[in-house]
Amino acid sequence: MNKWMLTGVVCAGLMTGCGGNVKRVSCSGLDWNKFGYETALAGESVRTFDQYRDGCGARLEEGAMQTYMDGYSKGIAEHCTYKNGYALGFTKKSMSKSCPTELLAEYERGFKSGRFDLGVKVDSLKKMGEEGEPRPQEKDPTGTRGAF
Amino acid sequence: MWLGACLRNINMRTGLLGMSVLLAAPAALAAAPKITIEFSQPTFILPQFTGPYQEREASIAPSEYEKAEQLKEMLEAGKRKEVLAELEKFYSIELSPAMLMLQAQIYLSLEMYDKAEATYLNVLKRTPQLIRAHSDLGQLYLIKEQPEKAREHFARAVALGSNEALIHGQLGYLNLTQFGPYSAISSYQQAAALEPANMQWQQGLLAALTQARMFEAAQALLNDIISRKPDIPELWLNQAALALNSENPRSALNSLEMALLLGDKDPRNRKSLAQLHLQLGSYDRAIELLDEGLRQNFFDGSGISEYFAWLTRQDMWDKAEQMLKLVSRNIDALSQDEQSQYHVEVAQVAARKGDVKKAESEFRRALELNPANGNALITNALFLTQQKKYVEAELLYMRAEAVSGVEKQALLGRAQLYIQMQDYSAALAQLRAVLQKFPEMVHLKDNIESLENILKTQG
Repeated sequence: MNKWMLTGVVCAGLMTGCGGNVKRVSCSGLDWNKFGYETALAGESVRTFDQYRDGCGARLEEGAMQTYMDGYSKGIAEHCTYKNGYALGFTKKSMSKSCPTELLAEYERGFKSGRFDLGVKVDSLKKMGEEGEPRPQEKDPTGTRGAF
Repeated sequence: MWLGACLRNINMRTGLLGMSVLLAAPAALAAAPKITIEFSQPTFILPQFTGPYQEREASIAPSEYEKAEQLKEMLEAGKRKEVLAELEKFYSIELSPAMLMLQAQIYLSLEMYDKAEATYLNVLKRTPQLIRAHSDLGQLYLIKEQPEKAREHFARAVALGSNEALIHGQLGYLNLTQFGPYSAISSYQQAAALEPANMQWQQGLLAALTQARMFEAAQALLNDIISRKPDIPELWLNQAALALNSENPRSALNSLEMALLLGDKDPRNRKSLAQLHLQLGSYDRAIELLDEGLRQNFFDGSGISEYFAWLTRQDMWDKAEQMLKLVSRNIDALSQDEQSQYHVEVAQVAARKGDVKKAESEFRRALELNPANGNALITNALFLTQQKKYVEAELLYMRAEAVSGVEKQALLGRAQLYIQMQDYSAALAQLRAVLQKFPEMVHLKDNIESLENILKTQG
């Protein structure tokens, strides 16, 4: 194999590798508001938008960021609630790290409450397994436990 | 507050009246059944842990402590733009409301008003109960000259519990300008209660009370302020204004003199003072003020004409002449139109004294300086009519008919001239023309009818 063929193979490999790793992002035409809303509702970071901001640069649709932020703000307010925190805690999922400070306290409280109830349930299931008798367990999705 | 006391007083009196009726009733009600009163179960209202009972001040998140320290050092070093650059690396949702407030305040200090506004509004969207955000946004809207929005936010800050004199004072001012004095009084009172030494709130309260025509309260407040600060001319001017509103010209005169003594130099106040002296009969002082005013170019032509009219109406032609002699020393300070009017007045004095030649010469000079001086044309025409120089008078009336503001007077004057000339058909035609042009002058119909009858009689 001469050096020209070797060079061609190397280049082809590099290009394939680059082409495989580069993710194309759409710089316009997206429903930015919905995108922001769904991102926040899933508890994902606001920096999900960075790929568009950095990838598109000046080609980014005008007003895209503001529209995205509007949707994100709405979504994060719906995600960062006591009820949602409780559900995450009870289902042994992780808390989102994206909640704004003014909503974080309630969200965390819900999460801890959910985890606590999960622990109680697990314990009662273990005891049930050991003693063979079911015990009624109480959930606290309302958020009053630990309020005072 | 004093208004509240007034209302309480009324309630007390009503209460006493109610009691006396009750005391009179028992004899008539001797056989009435026993009255019992049932109370419903009380309803307790628990404070909520959200809404208006939330924190009114923003605090930074624990995760921001380190960054906050860093930014504090940069701010102390005066590196505002650098601090801004640091904050702008974050999405707004990543920053606590406290950090966003800092960002907004830096935008404001750097006069980036649109960005400051957007940031404050963002803070309020997330935490609508932040007093400082409302008060800062109010200040921003004042800078941007949007007083309606400023007022809304100051009002909100007060409703949320702000107890800063500045906020109350500014709310008072904005309420005064947008909604009238009654909505401003309590705000100014609150500001004055918090900062009693701040004259701005006292004067604002004074303005509000005066505009609300609460003159007694305004006077009481002013007396109190003057007793503490007797050497401020503006306060004496306020006193004079109140006295005029209460139709007390002597008190107004005394207060204006005091203001003058303390250094007030506003020519309008000197003019008012001179007018008050004329009104109250202290003519020498009025002339003295006029003399001083003329020497210092305080008085303009319109002021001089007003005094002349006033003096001649009082038949004080000597004083009027004395005043005109003072004016003659400073005649070059008057505009050409004002000089024209001055010569008309000199002509009138001359005519009054029977100096026909001088009167004619002064009228001529007046019209040379301003050929469209309607007053000069009419007055001259009247004078010529008295001198039986009818043709010249008629020409002047016809010229005056083309000058706006004296057209009606000129038309009527010419009709009068024809009557004096006993040219009744010309007078009749003239009066008909006046009535056609000014149909509201219905009283002319009687004059027209009289002339028609005269002409019928003459055949």
